[in-house]
Amino acid sequence: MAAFLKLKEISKNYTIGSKQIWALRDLSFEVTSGELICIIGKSGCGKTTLLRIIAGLEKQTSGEIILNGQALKDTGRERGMVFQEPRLFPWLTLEANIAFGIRGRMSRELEYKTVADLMEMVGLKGFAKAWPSQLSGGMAQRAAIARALAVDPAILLLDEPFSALDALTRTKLQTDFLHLWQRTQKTCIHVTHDVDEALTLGQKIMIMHSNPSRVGDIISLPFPYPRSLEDPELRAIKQRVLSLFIADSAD
Amino acid sequence: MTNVFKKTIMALLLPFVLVLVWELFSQMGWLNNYLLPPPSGIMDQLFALAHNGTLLNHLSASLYRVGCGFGLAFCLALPLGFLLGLVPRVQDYLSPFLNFLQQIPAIAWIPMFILWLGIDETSKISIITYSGFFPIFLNTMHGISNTDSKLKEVASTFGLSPWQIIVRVYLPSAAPSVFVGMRLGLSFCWRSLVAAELLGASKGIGYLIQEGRELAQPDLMLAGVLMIGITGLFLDFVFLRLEKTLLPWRNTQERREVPKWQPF
Repeated sequence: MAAFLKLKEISKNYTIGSKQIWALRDLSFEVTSGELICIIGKSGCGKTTLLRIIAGLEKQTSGEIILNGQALKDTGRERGMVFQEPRLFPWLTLEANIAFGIRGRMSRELEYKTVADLMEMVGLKGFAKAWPSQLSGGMAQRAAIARALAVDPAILLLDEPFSALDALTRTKLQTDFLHLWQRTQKTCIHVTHDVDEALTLGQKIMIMHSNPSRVGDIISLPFPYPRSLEDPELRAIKQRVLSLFIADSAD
Repeated sequence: MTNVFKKTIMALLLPFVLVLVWELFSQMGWLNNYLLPPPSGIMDQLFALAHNGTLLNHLSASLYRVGCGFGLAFCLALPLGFLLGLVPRVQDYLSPFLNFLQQIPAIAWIPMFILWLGIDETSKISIITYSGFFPIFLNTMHGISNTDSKLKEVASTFGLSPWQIIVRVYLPSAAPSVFVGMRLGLSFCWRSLVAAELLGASKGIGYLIQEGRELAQPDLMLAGVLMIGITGLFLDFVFLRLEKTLLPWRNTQERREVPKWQPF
């Protein structure tokens, strides 16, 4: 399958004082259409920076990102972003938050239908008029995912979307997210530091190393969903991923 | 509803007790009725003024001045506050100067304003505008420049133009702050109004007090003071209600007891 998203030698450096710090160095990888790829790495390895560069929220120092044959720059509606925090607009109701990206770009009826469908899909039916301050963390994050999906982006970028949630809520959201992905067939890049989450969700796991960050191993996970982490094959892979992490800490 | 009722009772308790004690002391003859007229005397005076229409006449004159002054202050302060909030670099040039102006109370300007603009309405409205300007301006500016950059990022991932980000993120985000500024501004306007009217006016609540002084009628002076307080309180109340209606998301916790749902 042809590459849908292609990153070519992405580098990013910061100047702190007189020192040059490489956040990312010559990072290249490809994502095929419809793929759910998990990027995993320790905190500070540059995985969030990488995602923000793909989203256009930060500029790479050098390198090129190509989506569907087009070089990307700045932000764009073809890339949906879900942040670690829900980042809902406190002055908008839940439905208006979800409609944020499509407001004024389609008829009111179509907008209403899109939002209603999405709310049903992410399990927020009946909360249309709620204010963000009235929602639990899990519900707010569901709304944030719905908001990103509303504009029908070609690719969905998720930056540790479940990391701030409690364990039970996180598991439920992971399961629901899998269903959502299977239903929409969106290409997803999911950044996480949780090995279990990456093993539960990813068709592929990309391990990022730090200092400077670069692509380490890419592990394919050709297992059907839903997965059990008790599966011996997955357990073996988990051991491998963890040992790669430990090796990374050593250098 | 019972909550509102309870709050009203609680708010009225202290003034009620004070007035009661005051009236009682006056009746016992323990207070000098000239220096401190009894509440019943002040009420009589107030009713008499209301009855012959002079109260309404003075009050409407005052409200007209505050309306003009506040409106003008709002029209000047809001755009300027937006502009400086959006362009932080300009703040460095303007802030020190505005800070300097902010230190000068409106009363200090009254003689100069009268010299420049004459004794009639223009100078009075200018004084009111001056004192209402700063709270509106400063709160608007801070509201705009404190807009959460995380929300700006969200808006930019949806490909919104800078103009759309201003309208759909900066403005609603700054709205509560603008409201605080408007409430403060109105209260500043109302307070400076009396100062402006004490010097050279032919009507208005401030003039009423001045008249009481000249006629040596303390009950007239106190009736004026009472009217200032009550009208100011009423204006503030109207603004609070307006804020609750226009920014419903600000008071979700108080107004509707909705638990944080945990359906998962």
